[in-house]
Amino acid sequence: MYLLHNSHIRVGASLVLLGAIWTFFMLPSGVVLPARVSIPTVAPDFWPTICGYTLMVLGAAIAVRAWFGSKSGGQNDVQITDTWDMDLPLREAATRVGAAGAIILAYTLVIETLGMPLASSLAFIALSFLAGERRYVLVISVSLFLPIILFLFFTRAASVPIPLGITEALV
Amino acid sequence: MFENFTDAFANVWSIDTVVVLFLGVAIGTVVGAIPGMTSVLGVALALPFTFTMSPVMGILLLLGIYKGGMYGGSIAAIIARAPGTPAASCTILDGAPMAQKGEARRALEMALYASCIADFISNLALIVFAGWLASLALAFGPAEYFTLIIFSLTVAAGVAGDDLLRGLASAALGLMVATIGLDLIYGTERMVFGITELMEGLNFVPVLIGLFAIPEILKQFTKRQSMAIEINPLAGKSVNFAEFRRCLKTIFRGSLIGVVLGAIPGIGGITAAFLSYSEAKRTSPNPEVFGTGEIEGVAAAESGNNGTAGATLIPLLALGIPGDVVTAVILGAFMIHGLRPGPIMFQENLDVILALFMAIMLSSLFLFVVGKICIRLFSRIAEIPAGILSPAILVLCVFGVYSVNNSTLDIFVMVAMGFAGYLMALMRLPPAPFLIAFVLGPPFEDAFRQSMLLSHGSPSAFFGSAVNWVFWILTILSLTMVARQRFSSAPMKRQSSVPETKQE
Repeated sequence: MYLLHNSHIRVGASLVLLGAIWTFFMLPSGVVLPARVSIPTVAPDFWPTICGYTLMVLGAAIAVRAWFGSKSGGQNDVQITDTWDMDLPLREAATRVGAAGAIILAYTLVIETLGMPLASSLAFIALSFLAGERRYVLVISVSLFLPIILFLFFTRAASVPIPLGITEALV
Repeated sequence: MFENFTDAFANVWSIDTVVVLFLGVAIGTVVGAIPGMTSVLGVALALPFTFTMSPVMGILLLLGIYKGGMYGGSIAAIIARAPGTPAASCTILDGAPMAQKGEARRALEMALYASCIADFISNLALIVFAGWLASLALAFGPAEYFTLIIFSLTVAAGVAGDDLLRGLASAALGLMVATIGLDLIYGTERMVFGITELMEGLNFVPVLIGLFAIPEILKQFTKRQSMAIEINPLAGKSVNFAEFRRCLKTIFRGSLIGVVLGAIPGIGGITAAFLSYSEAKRTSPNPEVFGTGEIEGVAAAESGNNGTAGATLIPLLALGIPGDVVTAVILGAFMIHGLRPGPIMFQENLDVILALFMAIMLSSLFLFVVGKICIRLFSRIAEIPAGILSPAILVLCVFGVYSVNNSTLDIFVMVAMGFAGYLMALMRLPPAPFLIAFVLGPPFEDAFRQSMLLSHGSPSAFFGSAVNWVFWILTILSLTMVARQRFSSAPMKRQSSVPETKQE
């Protein structure tokens, strides 16, 4: 039970788990090996394997150090949130970050359908209101002005074909 | 040689180049003055805008932002008691009390003078030492590069965060992600999973912007809206000549500290600023006034900080090793423009190097002009509400990342890296070693495999020359020093209630 409460042990265990998934599951299925490798240390999977093992060793070291540190009454058993510089209550902060993450994800998913300028305007408005901004005129103005300026810069000055989606007919 | 000089001269003394450098310094100062916006973020956001420029112009824009950002950080530190950049956190110690006493103008002016002088000295050091170091590095083979990169990574991992093991774990993650793509020797796929766009590996720009911009945007949602600033930046008298002369020794000492620490990969401006400050305090006849609004404290912090600005480019240009995250971004910019910093560049693209050297000297002058004219304006920028700033940064990121390859996959990579970066921040894994390892990963692996091929698989290749041994010894020494430093500072940290400084 103690292990679950020590954030540093959790971090170490997460890194070990990540290294293990990378080494034992992702590498065998994700790396195509040539038919014959003359020097094993030059094989395509050798270096990624070394990286995976290194991560596991470092994760284990973090966990072990936290285990012994906390047993000796050291600082290693502090919760990570103790040093996280948020000034909102944890639950409220987590909700707001989760909502912001969802908006960002939705933004990336609708870029090709709605077009980058429109999707950017909507994402801007949603994130501004989520952040607590209530000057509606300012938010709407910037949400229109910024994507249009960027669209004009990238299409006219840099010749980048910005996806327009359903707004293509308007331009 | 003469041809290179004339080419370089033609490159630099065009109105476009001068305007771009000035613009870079101005943008950097604005970015640095905004709490929460770091010069890393400024340089990263500007990177996609450089693709259509010539290599010299593009790099100069980024260098201008970097240098402007270092000074700009002091504006918010003095006026708003919030360091615009992490390296400016030392400037708060005396700058903020001076502003509280109605001496904001003196503090800002001294920060500007110290920054400009330190920047100039640092640029001189770059010009003098980069070529010399590059000529030494011409003798390096793959095995020497392998040990050099190991040394650089361990230093970067050791000093980037507050924990060596976490720094190393972050670097290991960066090395893992860097292996995605086609294997360069056998041409087989690694972690591509049928996505053809991944065959070239993950693009540097989405990884960089995702790792540094998205977590900062998400972090803003854990904070309340920022409060208005009440201090008038033009309050009080200007710095007089007697004060300036009194601080000159401190400025020169801070500049030298900055140059030496900046030239070592991974150390950066924070350490230099605090070391310069502590030296100024130690040698002062009135050490007790430091921390209460002593102008010499501002001069020490800013000269130490800005003294690293040019020096961090020494290992970058001479060896191709980025000293910190900003130089890792600049290395990425070089590569995007088809240039590879290192000793070979001094032979094949000397005109570019000379053009950068010439233009970089101008940056100190531009910094002075921008700072002098715009102190009042830039201090208002710190008041931009997070509710407008964060979404605007996100929109900039999306447009910028898309423009790299005209690919929406890059936007997904950026967002995925952003969420990963936020998780890393929660786990207190510093992002800087990740990025430096991601940039150095491919040459690191190449050097390893080439050494193995040359030695037919024998690890003796990495112990075959004196240079190898020097880097091994330096690696062991740096690891030992970092470990000892952490060990000895642990009891102090337990007693201290001062919040930790945000790492860039």
